[in-house]
Amino acid sequence: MHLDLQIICDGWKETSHFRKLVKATQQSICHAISDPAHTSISFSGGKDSLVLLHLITSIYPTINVWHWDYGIFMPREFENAIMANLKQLAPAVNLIYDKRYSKNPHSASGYQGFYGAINKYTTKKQISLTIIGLRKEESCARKSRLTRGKFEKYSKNNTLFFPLADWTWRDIWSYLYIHQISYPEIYDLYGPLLGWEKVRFVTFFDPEFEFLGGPNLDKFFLYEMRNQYV
Amino acid sequence: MDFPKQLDEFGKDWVFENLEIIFTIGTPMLLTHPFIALDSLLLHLYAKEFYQKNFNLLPSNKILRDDLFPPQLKIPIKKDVATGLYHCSFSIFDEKITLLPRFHHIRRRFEDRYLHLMKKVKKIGINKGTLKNYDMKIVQISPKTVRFYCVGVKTIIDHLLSKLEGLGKKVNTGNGTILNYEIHSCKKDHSWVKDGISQRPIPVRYLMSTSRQVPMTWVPPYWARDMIEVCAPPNANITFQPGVLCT
Repeated sequence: MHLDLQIICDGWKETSHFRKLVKATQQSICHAISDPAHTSISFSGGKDSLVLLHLITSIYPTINVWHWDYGIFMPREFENAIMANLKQLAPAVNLIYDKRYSKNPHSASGYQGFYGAINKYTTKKQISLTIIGLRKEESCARKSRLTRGKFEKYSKNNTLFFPLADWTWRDIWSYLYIHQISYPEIYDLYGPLLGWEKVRFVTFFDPEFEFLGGPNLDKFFLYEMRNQYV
Repeated sequence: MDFPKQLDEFGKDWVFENLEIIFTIGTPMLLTHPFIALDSLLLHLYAKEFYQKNFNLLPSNKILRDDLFPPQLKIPIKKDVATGLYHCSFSIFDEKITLLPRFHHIRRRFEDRYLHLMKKVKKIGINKGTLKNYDMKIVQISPKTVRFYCVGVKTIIDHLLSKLEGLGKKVNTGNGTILNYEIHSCKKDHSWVKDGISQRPIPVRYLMSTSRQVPMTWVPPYWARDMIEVCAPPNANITFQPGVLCT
């Protein structure tokens, strides 16, 4: 972990706010999951997903974990690192692996395809509760969405649950730091440049995020991975 | 520049020499790729001069390779016949500067002070179309000098580069302004390799060994994806196969 971030985490992990938040989240998870066989965690491989996975598998080690591989928008090095982290962190989980197969970047947006896929999976496997690591702090849209509550009716038989809604970036990094959870290395590259509060792990070279300049950075820093799928 | 009427004679009297081009940069540069290619830069300047006002009417949805260009549009850089590679390097920045990139934001927001200029509409879409809002991050680096090596015609390259205002993206808003440039003759050709380190992408099939392999475009235009091949990227340790022309 980067030295600047370590200093922040060292101080933040001692605060009573952080300790209470972790306890409260663990309790809310225990209350929410009534049927672990029909509950699933949505795992992207990013820092929030890792925290969520660690929190839940410490209580329910064999829970369903659904992972969506973004295909051409996720370089294979990163995808392999995600799977390695998952195996190390939660070896006993029931992993369901789904993938975006299209090689055309414009056929369906990479990130939006995720929501269609999760709907298909939950309907097929009769999942009643899906746990996702969204946080209020991430964007204004998410803040307004999560202010309505940590539970959201997604479809007829499926409810979404957001246990990390109130977590801040300091909480997330401190949790990873305390438990020595390994995370994708790309955070160490983009974190100091973009800021540890803004850095995200979603898709790479994705035209959907052109208006935010995401592909501009990927083409510069990860140019070696740009043409992996040609 | 005067383009001759007899096309067969064009380029026959050119005398190629080993050159080192050094740009002194005044303002920070914006880049979306870690390298700038000299051959594509000269091709752009040459085409701009050749087509003049018609330059902006060229098709933007077709890939125009240099073999499809008219004969006058031959850039003043030596092209290796066997490999098809131009004898020119990619950009070489100051070593320390490239390790310290920063971000520049290119923003556009709709401002209601322009409302009176528009037709009366109920809603204005800001998520798509001409009024789309964006906040694009782009990498900004601050090199003092940018260096290129090539084998070319000094006078013509000098003439073309005199019309170049800046390097990198968003030159029209004052980024990457060129303060001056120098063209020196040098003894050795460093356009492909210098001290065993590659200076441009070279397809692996021409190499005996390479420290890194990356799928890249190796002929201009470098944005086109139809000529992607596994190459040794710039700054890789390479050794050429025997018989491949390299000095």
